[in-house]
Amino acid sequence: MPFPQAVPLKYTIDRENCLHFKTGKCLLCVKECTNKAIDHKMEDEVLDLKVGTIIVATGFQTYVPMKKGVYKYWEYENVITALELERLLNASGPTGGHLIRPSDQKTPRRVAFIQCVGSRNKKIDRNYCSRVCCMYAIKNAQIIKEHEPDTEITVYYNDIRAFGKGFEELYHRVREEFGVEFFRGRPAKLSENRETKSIMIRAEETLLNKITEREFDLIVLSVGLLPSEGSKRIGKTLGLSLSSDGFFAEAHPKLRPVDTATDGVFLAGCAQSPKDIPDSVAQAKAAASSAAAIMFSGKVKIEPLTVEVDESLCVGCGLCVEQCPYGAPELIQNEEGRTRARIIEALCHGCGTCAASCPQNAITAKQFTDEQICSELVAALSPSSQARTNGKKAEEGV
Amino acid sequence: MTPYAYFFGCVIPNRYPGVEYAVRWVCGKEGYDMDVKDVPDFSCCPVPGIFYSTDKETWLLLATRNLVLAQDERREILTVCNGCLTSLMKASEYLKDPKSMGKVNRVLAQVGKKYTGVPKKSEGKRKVFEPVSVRHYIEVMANDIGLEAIMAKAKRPLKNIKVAVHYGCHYLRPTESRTIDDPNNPVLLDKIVEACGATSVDYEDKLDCCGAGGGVRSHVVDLANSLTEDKCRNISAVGADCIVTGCPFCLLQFDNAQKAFSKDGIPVMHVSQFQALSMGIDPISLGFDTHHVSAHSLLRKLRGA
Amino acid sequence: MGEVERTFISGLKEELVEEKVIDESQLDPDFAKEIKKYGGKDVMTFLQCGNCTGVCPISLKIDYKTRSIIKYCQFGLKKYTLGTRWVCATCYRCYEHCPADINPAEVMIALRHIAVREGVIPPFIKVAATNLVRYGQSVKPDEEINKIRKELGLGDIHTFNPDFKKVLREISVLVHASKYDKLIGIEDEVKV
Ligand SMILES: Cc1cc2nc3c(=O)[nH]c(=O)nc-3n(C[C@H](O)[C@H](O)[C@H](O)COP(=O)(O)OP(=O)(O)OC[C@H]3O[C@@H](n4cnc5c(N)ncnc54)[C@H](O)[C@@H]3O)c2cc1C
Ligand code: SF4
Repeated sequence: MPFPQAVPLKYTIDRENCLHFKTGKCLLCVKECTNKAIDHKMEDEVLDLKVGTIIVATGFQTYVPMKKGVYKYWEYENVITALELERLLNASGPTGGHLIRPSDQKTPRRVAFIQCVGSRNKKIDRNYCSRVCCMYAIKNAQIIKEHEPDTEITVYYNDIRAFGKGFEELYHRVREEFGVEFFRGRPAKLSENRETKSIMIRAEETLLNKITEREFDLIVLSVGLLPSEGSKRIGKTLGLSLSSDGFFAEAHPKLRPVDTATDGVFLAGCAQSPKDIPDSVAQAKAAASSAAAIMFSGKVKIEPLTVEVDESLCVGCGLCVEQCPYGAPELIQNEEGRTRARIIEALCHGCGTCAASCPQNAITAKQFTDEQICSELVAALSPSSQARTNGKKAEEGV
Repeated sequence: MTPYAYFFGCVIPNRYPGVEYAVRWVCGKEGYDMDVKDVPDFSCCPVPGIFYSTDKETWLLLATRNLVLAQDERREILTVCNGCLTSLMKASEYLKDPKSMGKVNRVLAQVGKKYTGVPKKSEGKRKVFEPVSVRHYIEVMANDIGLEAIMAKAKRPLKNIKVAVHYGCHYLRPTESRTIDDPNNPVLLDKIVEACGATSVDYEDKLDCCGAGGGVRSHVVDLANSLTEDKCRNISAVGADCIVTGCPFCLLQFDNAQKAFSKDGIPVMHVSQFQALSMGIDPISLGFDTHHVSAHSLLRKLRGA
Repeated sequence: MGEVERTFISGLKEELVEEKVIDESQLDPDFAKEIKKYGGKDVMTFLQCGNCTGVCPISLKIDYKTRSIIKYCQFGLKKYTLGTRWVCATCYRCYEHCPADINPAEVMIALRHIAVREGVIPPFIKVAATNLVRYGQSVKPDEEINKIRKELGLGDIHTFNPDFKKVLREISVLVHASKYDKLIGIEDEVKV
């Protein structure tokens, strides 16, 4: 079992340590398994699947602190990231959930959390709030306190964002019941005591207007969330656009939060923006039902407002293929063997980008032909219509 | 080789002639025989702490006047001072905007000067201009001359000498207008010092300010000195034999401030003086007698080594 | 008076006289705009995280807190920024660390511009500006040093060179053109 919360919750073979892969013998497990579920000959496979809908849930990766930054992650042993702390506090982690610090394996007495590492920082082009780090820091502070009530914990924060259900209450509880201290200020300098390996933090307590220097045994960086590594590639493959922060852009921030500009592709979880598990699950369920709605009906309704190509005018230059945001046009060989554009009507949204860009005027948008638009313009600008609007304005007192 | 124009600024010629001598010596026949020329009409850069701080318009006019002189000579400015670097580099940056260039030129016309930038190869009829480039001594030495050349010329390598290097703020920051060196982890000065055969020792708060900048030294000396005291404490803690800096104003600050809080003090020198020492110059010509902190302890150690 | 009383009561009278509540009449709503005019970035985007104070070498030494000064600027509390704006060493550390990407050092410089225009001009500014007009250098040339220069085989300091008169004239013209001589009150009025 890779770890207790693994999904799916199934046993796997650890290839590096399995005797069979080392010596070619053993295979005891195959004999023992009554369900004949073990097959050492299985290899990685690349499968080509034909699917109707896709849900992109590629999640996030955590920010990696800078090599020569202020927080000295790469220089001081006792500066760790929150992800590393999660492993240390995990009951099935390397220490069985017992908190130790890297330099001497002792239990740290004074722990500091530094918030907003790699988030909300215009200097490194990460303008957004990662949304989960405040709460996971509070959660971890509570866990540490539950294990080792004597630990002094200080959280260096800028703003505490406890926005979810029960979050503000948790924030109050760690302050009141557990006595976790919250320090408003961004650390300016960390320096290590060479002997004890403890670390001094210099920061302004902005609410006191005083610069303070305090020593801690362990520093935890609350690292932010970044778009996962392959986002750009997946975006390109599926025709998804990225928002300015690098996460996948939804079709509409309020009304279509799980859809994308490409029909049949949906978003869930941190792939779309940083969020916690409940929000990820909610969005995943929404994405799943959106996908199911299409799949179960078996048919797709589309708008009749698509475009059409006049094959006699088209020279097959392919400009429309490049321009279309939905990937609707494709180049085909017609009966005479010439290259021509064709519109896949199921994909076309009738936006008219191709019609406007076609150098041959070979594409027309249905219901929006040049003639139709011109006559609308003529009618709108005709004296009689002007008089009417003017009259109306006069009535309204404009 | 790139043609340069010496820009010594105010502090070196008027307070530390030894530094000027060292620079000329290193760049001249005895040293790397670079193509450097004096431009006698250069004035004060002008000092960012005074002019840039109180009236950017005047600052830009006076700085541009200097840039025009270099432009007409078709030379890169070789500054030996962080303040001059900041001032001139920033001015060159400002003048990239055609609007401010036009505004400056309208006034400069009164003294018969015009800033265009240095003409580069012309594309067809259109002429292409490049901003006058402003270089720092450290960077020219490390990049144009190269560390190997420095090592090769170090006839009398300064072995056993422990050096605390001080970059000086304006060599590194603001990164808005310069990226000579990594502002969090600069290396060039350390490398030059090591190429001269000495050891550059790391010390606490190496990149901190000497305290002099921005008019603080002229305005509240005690405040400036107390910053220098912190630095010197960290430097003596690692047992450095001398401080090497790339900026004459930092040099001045270290040199003058130390008498306020210590009896002997740590000798301070400009990187060019240090380089010249390694190249076997007679220390007499480095003008150490104009320094307040005596360099005797260092020179004695050198002779002993 | 007992120790406690002295600590708690003496000085209370003066404190009572001092204005403790800041009302709107003390705020200058256009202060942020004025700062922008002189090249400071928008102080309204300031996060108040305190990083600038922490890295500021001056803040460690005296009662000068970079963050508070920017906060006063946001508020438009001009008079609170008067005394401390000349101690910034322009080391630009605050800029390098600022997550809001504003440049506190440049804000200080803008504040100096404003101060000068309000007649708050520290003497060293006047001295340096006068030196520049008189000698073409912000440092006063020294005869002693010039002697040492000669011994070393270096030429005269520029200023002692007769040809340098032309440069001084040019500087005067430029300083006069930008009205800097009036602004700072350079001694011996620049003649053009
Ligand atoms: C230190 C830390 C502590 C946290 N603590 C809490 C907490 O206590 N409570 C809480 O609610 N939230 C917490 N969170 C947030 C929580 O981790 C996220 O909300 C959640 O993991 C988001 O789930 P997801 O499925 O969107 O993304 P992920 O969990 O990142 O899953 C994405 C998956 O996609 C895979 N993948 C990525 N790219 C590809 C690809 N190209 N092809 C195939 N697979 C790919 C990845 O390997 C990964 O398995 C914490 C986050 C951090 C960093
Ligand atoms: S969640 Fe909290 S720690 Fe994380 S970026 Fe937002 S404010 Fe900073």
